[in-house]
Amino acid sequence: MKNIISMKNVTYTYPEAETHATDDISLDIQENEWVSIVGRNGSGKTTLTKLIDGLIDCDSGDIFIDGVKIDEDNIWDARKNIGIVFQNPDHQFVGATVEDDVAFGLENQGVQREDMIKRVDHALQMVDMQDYKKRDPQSLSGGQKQRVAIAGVLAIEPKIIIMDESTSMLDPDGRRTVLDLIQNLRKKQSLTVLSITHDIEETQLSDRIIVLKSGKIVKDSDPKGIYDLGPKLIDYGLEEPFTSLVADGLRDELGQEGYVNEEGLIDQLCKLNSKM
Amino acid sequence: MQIEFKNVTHSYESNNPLSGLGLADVSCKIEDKAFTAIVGKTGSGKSTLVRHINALLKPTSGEIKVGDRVITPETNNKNLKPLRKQVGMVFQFPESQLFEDTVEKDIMFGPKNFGIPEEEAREAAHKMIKVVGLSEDYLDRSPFDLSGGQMRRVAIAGVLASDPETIILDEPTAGLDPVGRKEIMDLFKEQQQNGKTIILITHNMDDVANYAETMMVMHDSRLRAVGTPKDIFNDQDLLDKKLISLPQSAVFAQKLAKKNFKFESLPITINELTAEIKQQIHGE
Ligand SMILES: Nc1ncnc2c1ncn2[C@@H]1O[C@H](COP(=O)(O)OP(=O)(O)OP(=O)(O)O)[C@@H](O)[C@H]1O
Ligand SMILES: Nc1ncnc2c1ncn2[C@@H]1O[C@H](COP(=O)(O)OP(=O)(O)O)[C@@H](O)[C@H]1O
Ligand SMILES: [Mg+2]
Ligand SMILES: [Mg+2]
Repeated sequence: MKNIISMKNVTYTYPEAETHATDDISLDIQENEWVSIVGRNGSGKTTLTKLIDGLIDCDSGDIFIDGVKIDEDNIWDARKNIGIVFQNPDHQFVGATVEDDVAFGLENQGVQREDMIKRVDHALQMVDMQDYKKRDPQSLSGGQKQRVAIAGVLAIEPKIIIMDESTSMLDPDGRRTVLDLIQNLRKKQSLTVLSITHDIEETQLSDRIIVLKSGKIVKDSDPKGIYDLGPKLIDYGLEEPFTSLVADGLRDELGQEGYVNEEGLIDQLCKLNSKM
Repeated sequence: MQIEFKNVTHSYESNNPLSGLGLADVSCKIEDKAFTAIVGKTGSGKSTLVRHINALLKPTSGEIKVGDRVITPETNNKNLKPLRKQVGMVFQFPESQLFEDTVEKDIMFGPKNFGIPEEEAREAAHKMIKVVGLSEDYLDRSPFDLSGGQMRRVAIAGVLASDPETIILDEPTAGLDPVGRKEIMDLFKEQQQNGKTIILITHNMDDVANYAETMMVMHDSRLRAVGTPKDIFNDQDLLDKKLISLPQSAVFAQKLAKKNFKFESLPITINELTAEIKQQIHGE
């Protein structure tokens, strides 16, 4: 497996800030990986993705995208491989209508008109927004804006998709639909996903979870390794998994502590219920 | 202040047929000093509904009563200040309500705008910034140089600083980390216990179960159900039609019910769930 993103000792400080927003981060992300980035507000998640997309330049360290070290000259080429959905979708709307907006990224890539129309339609269909093609993006509801922003990124068929809390305003069904959609795309094409999220359920879909705290990586493991932290998760601004909370409330009955997955917990409870 | 909607319909830009109805014939009462949650799919009309309460939007037909103030299609934008002072709103995207060059000025804007003296407004800013979980160091910073979650907190502080009687929160915890979310939800609950009316739009059904007394379900611009969270989450018809999703405890109970547990009604909070499990295990 090759590294699609590689960061070596990357540090970044915002002008006039007293602390580093990104503090000596080294990180390898493999092609096709789904990585969740979590951490408390202000821990440096968005900054990390802005560095990867070259929207800001690191003060020290190196960033490699698909094996190529990023510099001023090649950042524009590198960026073509990266689709980023911003935390607030208002920041990325440029078109007067939803379809213009989704087409914008394709125009930039010089896609032919005929092909463009097809890809725009397809992308809007994927997020179930085809009926809103002619609308002004600013007039959409919050969740609808998030869907259009996702369509805009899917249309350019990037190798890397970065989602910065991109489903935070979707209803639970809508969120699942979008996540399933991304999951399915990964089966058909090579797609690396970097997803910033506060939703513990969403992290379960990922191959790996990276926890940031004050600009540093403080944990990097598969989801189970993270959930095993139990109450310590709160230090990282994460919620304890639901099953741990239930197990905690039934400590006397279960006679044990620590993380159990849902299946395990249901099994144990059913046994207890048939014994007595 | 009691809030009442009477047959309220809102159509966005009547000259644009593509923008359908925002609200269709909504009638309801929102009780004074209660904690009411509004849920519903993306685009179902939740934000449109609450924007009528402080007259950011006017009805196309019907009327809204807020205390003794009546808002009708003819209501103009004059003299809305007293209403806006009474009804504070945290918008869905916090950036849209930040505009000053420092956080302190931003939080002070509301109180000053409503006639509170400069020094008192400043005190309020220093108090509220801490209440929302940020240190006073943030007061000198530009609100636009903050992380998403920090901006959200500043926007909330700004609304609380004006001390409104009714607080409307449009997905206020989107973007907050879970620890922050709990702190902020507890803060809203505390505000309610101090006599405020809280109206919360959210997609987090656990928050609805844990904090709200009344729950309203929107769908396709219509108000489809109103009731206690316990009743609504146990309404089979709403579930079958997929108009609502369930809190985690209820989902877990459904799974247990497929095995050897039996629930007369679905528990909606962890406490209800564990109490119910204990009872069944101990065979009471
Ligand atoms: N434009 C900016 N100028 C100065 N400081 C900034 C700027 N943007 C962010 N910061 C600061 O850098 C730190 C990291 O911010 P970042 O946006 O990366 O956090 P985050 O992890 O994405 O948080 P959230 O979960 O709230 O979105 C924070 O302390 C923030 O206040
Ligand atoms: N300014 C606007 N102009 C036209 N249509 C709008 C406007 N704002 C919202 N709408 C539409 O009204 C419907 C309800 O939106 P909204 O109340 O924002 O939904 P939500 O329940 O997600 O808060 C949606 O279909 C949305 O696209
Ligand atoms: Mg962020
Ligand atoms: Mg809304």
